[in-house]
Amino acid sequence: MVEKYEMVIGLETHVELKTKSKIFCGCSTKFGAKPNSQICPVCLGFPGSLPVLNKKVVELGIKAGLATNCQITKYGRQDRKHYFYPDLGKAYQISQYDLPLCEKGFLDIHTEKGSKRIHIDRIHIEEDAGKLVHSDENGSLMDYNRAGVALIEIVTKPDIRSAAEAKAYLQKLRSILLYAEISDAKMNEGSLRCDVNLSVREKGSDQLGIRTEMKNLNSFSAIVRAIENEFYRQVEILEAGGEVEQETRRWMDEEGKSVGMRSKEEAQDYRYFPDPDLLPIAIKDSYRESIRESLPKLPDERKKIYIDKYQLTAYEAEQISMDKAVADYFEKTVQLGASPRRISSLMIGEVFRLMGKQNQEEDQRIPFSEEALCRLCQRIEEEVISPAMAKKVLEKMWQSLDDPDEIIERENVRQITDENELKKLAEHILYANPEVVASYRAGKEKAFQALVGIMMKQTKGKASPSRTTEIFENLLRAKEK
Amino acid sequence: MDERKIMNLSIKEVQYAVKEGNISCEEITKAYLEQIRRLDPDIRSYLHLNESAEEEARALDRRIAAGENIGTLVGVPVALQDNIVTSDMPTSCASKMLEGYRSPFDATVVKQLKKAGAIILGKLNMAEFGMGISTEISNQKVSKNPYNQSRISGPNAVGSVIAAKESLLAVGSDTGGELRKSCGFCGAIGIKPTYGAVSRNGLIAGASSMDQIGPCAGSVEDVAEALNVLVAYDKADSTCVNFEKPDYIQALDRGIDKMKIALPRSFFDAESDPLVSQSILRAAENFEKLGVLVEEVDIPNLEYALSAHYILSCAEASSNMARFDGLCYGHRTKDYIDFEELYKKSRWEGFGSEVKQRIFLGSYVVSAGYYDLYYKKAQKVRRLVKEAQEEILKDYDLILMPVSPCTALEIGVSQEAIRDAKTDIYTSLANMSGLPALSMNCGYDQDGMPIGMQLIGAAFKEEKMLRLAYRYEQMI
Repeated sequence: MVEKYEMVIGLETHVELKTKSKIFCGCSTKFGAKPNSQICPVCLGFPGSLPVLNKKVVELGIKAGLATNCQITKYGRQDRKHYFYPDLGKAYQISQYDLPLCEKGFLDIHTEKGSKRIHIDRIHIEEDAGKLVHSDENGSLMDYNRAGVALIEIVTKPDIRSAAEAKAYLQKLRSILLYAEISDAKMNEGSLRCDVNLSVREKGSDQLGIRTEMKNLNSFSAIVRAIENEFYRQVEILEAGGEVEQETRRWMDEEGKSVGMRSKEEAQDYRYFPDPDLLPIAIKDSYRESIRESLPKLPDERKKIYIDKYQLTAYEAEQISMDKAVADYFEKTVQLGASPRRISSLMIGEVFRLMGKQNQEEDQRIPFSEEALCRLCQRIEEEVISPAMAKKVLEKMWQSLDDPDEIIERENVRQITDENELKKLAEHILYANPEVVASYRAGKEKAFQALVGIMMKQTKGKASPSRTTEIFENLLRAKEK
Repeated sequence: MDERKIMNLSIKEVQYAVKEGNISCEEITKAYLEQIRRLDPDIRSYLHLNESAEEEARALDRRIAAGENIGTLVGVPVALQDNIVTSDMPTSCASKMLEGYRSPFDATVVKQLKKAGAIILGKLNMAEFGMGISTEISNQKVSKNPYNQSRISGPNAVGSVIAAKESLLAVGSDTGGELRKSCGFCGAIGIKPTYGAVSRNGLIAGASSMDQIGPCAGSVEDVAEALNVLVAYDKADSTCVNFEKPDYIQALDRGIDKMKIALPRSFFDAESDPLVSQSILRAAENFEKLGVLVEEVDIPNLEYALSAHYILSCAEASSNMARFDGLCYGHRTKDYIDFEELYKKSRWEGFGSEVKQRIFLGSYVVSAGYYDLYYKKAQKVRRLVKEAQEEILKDYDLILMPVSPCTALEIGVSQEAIRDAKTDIYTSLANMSGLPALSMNCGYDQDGMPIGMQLIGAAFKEEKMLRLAYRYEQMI
């Protein structure tokens, strides 16, 4: 029954901008400070205080718009959005209503099913609210450090049709935000937040179903789980002949389900009107173009270069280009003379795995220099060590930051390439393992691998795999005669 | 120096006397404090008095003795309206909501005044959060008019504190004419500068697009001295304008011949008391005697300003009042279960009925479905009213009209009578357009109550109206 439905998703993403100070005052935006240590009358909204727009915020907002192919407005305005909640000091949030900074952009994403364009409706700047912390003994406590931090809100059109597409969009968006140094975009620190608007309809229909909004999604995988759960929940309702209630739902990841938040009879009226304390934002063409010039080569551009110039596969190119730090690292090793394909394979195979091992809270950095990795790569090319052995050397480099050549010597992992030496060992192995040889003669391919495996074991992995294979092949064929 | 003599010194005379060592800041401060002690139990201008005033005066005297050159207002006592935040004194906006509130920062104008050497005597009464025609809407007390204590001082005590000589200088705010009306009702001189000329940083906002801070004093020269200190670019206020400001004192001496005044007689004749109209006409005659040309004109659309002003100021006020919830500061209700109840009860208890009414109306006119009908339409009217004034000021230097249609009302008059009096009908024009407007005495009615005239000028051209007012003052 599920097959006759499709999910229709729009994503609203809030991104904390990487500015030193808040959007309307000079308070610091550093994450993790002691509660209420980065506040002032302006971000708290004390009587008599006035906002002053941080120019860097506009610059980064425009950057985000240019990086996502948006049209940048020539004339923007900031509006008051009114609602009452303890984390909102002025009881209104300064946001943008009908004249946002950027409009009508798009991102191209790639999933297993192929490429797709996700349209971005708008990007606007606004201020963040403080944080409410609930404790059993103390009730609700307010920390206003986050109040006034600059945000951009990126709203897509309802173009997304699967959880995989949603994830791909967010990964692409995150990658661009990091590239352009617009944000740290860390979901676990709250500098990237995503709400999912999801509705369901029969495939082939062009009517939109009733949608729900889901909040409290704290990781990409939680978003995937939440989307799938909500899709099935709505399908069940429709199949039973019911109607989906328009509401906001809170995703509970540990329990694997969402709960409806107190739904209102009608939509909230924010009583938007232009903020009279702030002037309109006028963006000259020259200013916009100077920001465009300051954008680095974005992921898609680099990906193309990697494919065309370095002959990486599309998958490899996508993987390397996704993270700017990784891409920069890769390009430097190639500059130093490493083979692009071998470096990319080492990075995707081993380096990524080791990066994933690290504590996710910290920046994922490759601890050794490009030069060191380049040299390791060259040792493989020179057959000083085997590719398999290189993995072990790499792990040691990661742990101890020692020089690869030093590690190779110290661990005594130089590859044995001497034909005679290998031939002698091979002959001995064949002599000592007649059952395996017989098995091979009988047609079992696995027996061949077993022989190679014995060689590896005896040489502690140092035998050159390719040479070993060749030698065994020759010896066995010779013996046949 | 004799006390009476001290209180008759103008700001310029204080400057001279202090410089020459003929008088100390302490003596001046003591004289005014004594006056306040004598009169204020009746007049009731002050909500809070600066307990450290004499000490601050003594500190100034020490600095002067040490040869320090302080500023143009050294030793000048100033009274501030109680919606201008001070970190060393409470700021209550005459509301229960902010009773005893201590601001963590000083308003920019407070810093400017202190830097110039002024001594802040205390905070002045006003209508609650500036919403209301008289201080009868104050949480605390009703300020009396020194000319007749059964009459109101106006929307605040800024004019009355000058008329009663309870301060040499007063600084207040003007959103729909409050500063000018208080001056007009009490025979003082005040000016609402061009929107953007004086920083609003630290002024507790009423209607953010119309509020301005201005000085009030007993003479044009004193007002000019104050403007020299208050008009300054402030980065902390995004609506503050960086313009080349003149020396307002020096500008007083420049000539006024060839000045042209526009007199929209049919407009103000319609609503004014006959005596008020006559006073304006007499003032116009006096201007002509000074060599100035006065012409009757018709300025279109002015009659729509009042209701549009009310809609817009209520809309902005409802937004600016939203932050008062008792959470971090201000009145907090005693019993509540959740934050919603905390908000509702604190606000219900903390705000008076006039404020609540304006919050309701203001929220309504910007709500979905009514925004276009009221708020947006009022903004369009605003543009027309602004353009009408600017158009006339292309051919004329100033527009002359009354400050209010009537003189100071009786204390205790009904709310309906107050609304019918339409006291904002002439003053709201300059708040809608952002243009500067000066209020000055031009006569008295049959009961001896002061009648105020208003001069509206082109943006950032305060010096023109000051010049004319100066010559008029010398003539009378």
